[in-house]
Amino acid sequence: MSAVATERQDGRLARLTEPRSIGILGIVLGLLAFWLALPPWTVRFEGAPIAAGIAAAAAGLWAFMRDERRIGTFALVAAALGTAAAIWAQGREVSSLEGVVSVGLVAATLRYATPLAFAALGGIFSERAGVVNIGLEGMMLAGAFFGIFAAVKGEHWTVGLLGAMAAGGLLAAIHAFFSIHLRADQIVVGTAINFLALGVTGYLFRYIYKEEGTPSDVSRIPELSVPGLRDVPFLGDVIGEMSLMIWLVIILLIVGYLILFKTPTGLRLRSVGEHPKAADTVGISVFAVRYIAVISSGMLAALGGAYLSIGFVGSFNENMTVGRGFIALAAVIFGKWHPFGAAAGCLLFGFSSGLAQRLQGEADISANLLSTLPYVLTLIALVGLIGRSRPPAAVGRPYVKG
Amino acid sequence: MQNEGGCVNAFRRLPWLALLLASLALALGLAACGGDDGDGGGGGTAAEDTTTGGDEGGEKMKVGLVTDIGGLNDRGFNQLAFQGLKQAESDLGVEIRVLESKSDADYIPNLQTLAEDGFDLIISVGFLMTEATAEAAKAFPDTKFAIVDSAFDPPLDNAQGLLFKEQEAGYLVGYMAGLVTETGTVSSVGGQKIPPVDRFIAGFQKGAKDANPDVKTLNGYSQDFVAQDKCKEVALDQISKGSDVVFQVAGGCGLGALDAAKSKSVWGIGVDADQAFLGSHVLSSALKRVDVAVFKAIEGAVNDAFEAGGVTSFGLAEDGVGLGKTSPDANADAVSETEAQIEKIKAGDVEIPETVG
Repeated sequence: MSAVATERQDGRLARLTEPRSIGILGIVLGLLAFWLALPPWTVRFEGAPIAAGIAAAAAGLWAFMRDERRIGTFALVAAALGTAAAIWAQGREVSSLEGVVSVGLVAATLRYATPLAFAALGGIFSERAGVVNIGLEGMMLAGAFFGIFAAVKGEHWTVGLLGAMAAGGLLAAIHAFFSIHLRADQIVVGTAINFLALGVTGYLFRYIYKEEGTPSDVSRIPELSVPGLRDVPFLGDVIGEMSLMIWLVIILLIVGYLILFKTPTGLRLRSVGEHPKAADTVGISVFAVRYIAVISSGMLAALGGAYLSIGFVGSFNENMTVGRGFIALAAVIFGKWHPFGAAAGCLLFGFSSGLAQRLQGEADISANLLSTLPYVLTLIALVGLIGRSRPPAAVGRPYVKG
Repeated sequence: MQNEGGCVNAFRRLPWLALLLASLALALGLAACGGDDGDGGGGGTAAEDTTTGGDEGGEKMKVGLVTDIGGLNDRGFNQLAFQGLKQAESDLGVEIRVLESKSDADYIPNLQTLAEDGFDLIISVGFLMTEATAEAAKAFPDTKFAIVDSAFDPPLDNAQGLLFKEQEAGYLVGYMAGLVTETGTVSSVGGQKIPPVDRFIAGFQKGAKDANPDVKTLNGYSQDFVAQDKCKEVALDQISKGSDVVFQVAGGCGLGALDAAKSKSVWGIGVDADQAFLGSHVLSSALKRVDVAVFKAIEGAVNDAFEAGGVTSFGLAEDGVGLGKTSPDANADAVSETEAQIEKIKAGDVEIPETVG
C-alpha cells in the first residue's frame, strides 16, 4: 500500500521537474511579473517584475533546451511582454490602474463570456456526436431575434427563451437533416445556415419593427439577486446580482459535463462521434443520437443569442451577434471539446474584451488596435498554449449505414 | 482502424481551420451585405423608393439620402435625417430616395447610384462619409451634394457642409447633469472620437463644470455606433466608477448606455433625437435637429439658393440644436436653472470649447 503511494508521489515529483512543467512555470512567472504592477499589489519597485521576468526567461530557456520548444518559446515571450508591461504599468498612477483592473472587470468578463459559453456548449454536443456545427453563429442570431420577437408577443421573457430555443432548434434541425440524412458537406451546410439566419432575421426585423426598432418596454430576463452572496468580499457586488442567464450557463456547463462524461447517454453520444460504425454495431442509432445532439446544440446557441437581445441590451440589431458563434467554435477547440475547457476559452475571450475596453484612454494605443486584443490573445492561446487538440475521430464525416 | 481515423483527421484539420477563419472573417464583414436580402431593389441597398405627386408642374426635383451605418432605425441621427427628407417630400414636393449604408464600403457605391440615376441633390448623413462624398462630388460636378456633420476643405463648388454647434446642446445637458449629480461624477459615452461627437462631449464637460466646479467627468468611447452591448459595457464601467449621470453620444449604440443607466437606477441623457420616450430615467436629451438641417438644405436647393461651397452652421440660435424634454422626476430648479443658460449661450456670453481636452 504505502510503497504504491510513495511510487505515485515520486511520479508526481518527477513530473514537476519535467521540461514541460518548468516551461509552464516560466509562463506563469511571466504573467506574475505583469500582475505585480497591478492592483491589488501595485508594486512600485522595478526590480520585482524584472526578477520575475528573468526567472521566467530562465525557466523558458531551460525548457526550450530540453526540447519543449513551444512551451519554452511561450515562456520567453511571456517573460519579455510581462516585464515590459509591468514597467509600463508602474509608470501609471495607481488610481488609473484601479480603473482598469477592478471588480467591474470580473463582471464584464462574465457578461462577455456568457453568450459564448452557451454556444460553445452547443458546439461540443454537436461535434462530440460527429457533426461540425459552423452554423452556431446563425443559430445564435436566430435566437437573438426570435427571443425578442416571442418576448414581445408573449409579453414575458420566458416565452422569449422558448421562442429562441424553437428557432435555434429548427435551424439546427435543417442543419441536421442536410448533414445527416442527405450527407451534405457539413461546413457548407453550416455556412448556408449562417447566411439564412442573417437574411431571415434582417428581413423580419425590418418588416416587423420598421424604423422604430424593437419596443423598449420588452420583458427582460431578470438579474438574480442572491442576498447571501452579496456579502462575499471583493466579488459580492458581481455575483450577488448577476443575470439569471449567467447562473443558467454555469449550471448547464456542469450538467453538460456530467451528461457527456458520466452517463451512458454521454458515452453513446461520444461513441457516435468517435466510431459510428462500432456504435451502430452495438445497437445505438447513429442518426437519432446525431439529430438530438445537433438540435440541442442549436437550442443552446439560441439561448446565448437570447441573452444578448432580451438579457443584456433589451433590443435587436441586424447581425447583432457579429461573429460570436465563431468565437464559440474557437473556444470549443481551445477547450479540447470539453465543457470546462471551452468555458475557460470563453472566459479568456471575455476577459480580454473587458480589458481592451478599459485600457482605452489609459494606454496610449489606438483604440482600433486595442479592440483586436481579444482576437489576438485567443489566437495566441489557441496556437501556443493549448497545443494539438484532437477532434472526435468521426467529426465532419456523414455516416453511411451498412 | 484507430490510426486510420487519426490520419484522415490530420489531413482534414488544416482546410477545416482555414475555413473556420475564413468564415469568421466573413461574419465580421457581413455588416456589409447584411440587409441586402431584405431590402430588395436593384443595384445598391435601396430601402425606400417613394414618389409623390408634386404640384409644382414640370419636373420634380429628385433628392437622395445616403445614411451612415447606423441605419434608419437608430432612433436618432439617421432617423432624423430621414424625417427631414420626408418633410421635404410632403412640403416641397420633391421626389426622394434613401440608400442605407451597411458598411463604409457602401458609401461610394450608394452615392454613385444616386448620382447616376439623375438625382439633383444628394445628402450624406455623417462625418464618416466626408471623403466618399468629396470624391463623388468631384466625379459628378453637375450634381449637388450636401453632408451632415462635415465640411469640405478645400470647398467644392457643388457641395455644402451642414454643421451643428453640438457643444451648445452638450453644454445644456452637462449643466443639468452637474446640478443633479449626487455622487459628483458624471460621464459621457461617445461612439468614436470624431469632431461632432467630441463637440457634444466638450460642451457636456464644460457645462457640468460651470454648474458644479467640483464635478468629476469621465469619458469613454465604444468604437461603435450600432452595437448596443458595447455602449452598455462602457456605461456600466463608468457607473461602477461612481457616475450617476450618463450622457450617450453614440447614436443607436448609445441606447445601450441609457439601458445601463436604467438598470443601475442612475440618470441617462439622450442625444440627437428626443429620447424621453425611453422612460423617466432619461434626464433630458441633447437635441441635434438633423431634420431641420436636411430640410433647409433641400429648401435652399429648391429655391435656387443652394449654398454651393458653403458651410451652414446650426446652433441654438438657428434652432439647430436644443434641450429635449426633461424627465418628470427631475428637480424643477435644476431644469429652470439650465433653461436660463439658453439665453446666455444665444447671447454669446458663454465660451464653450469644441474639443475634448
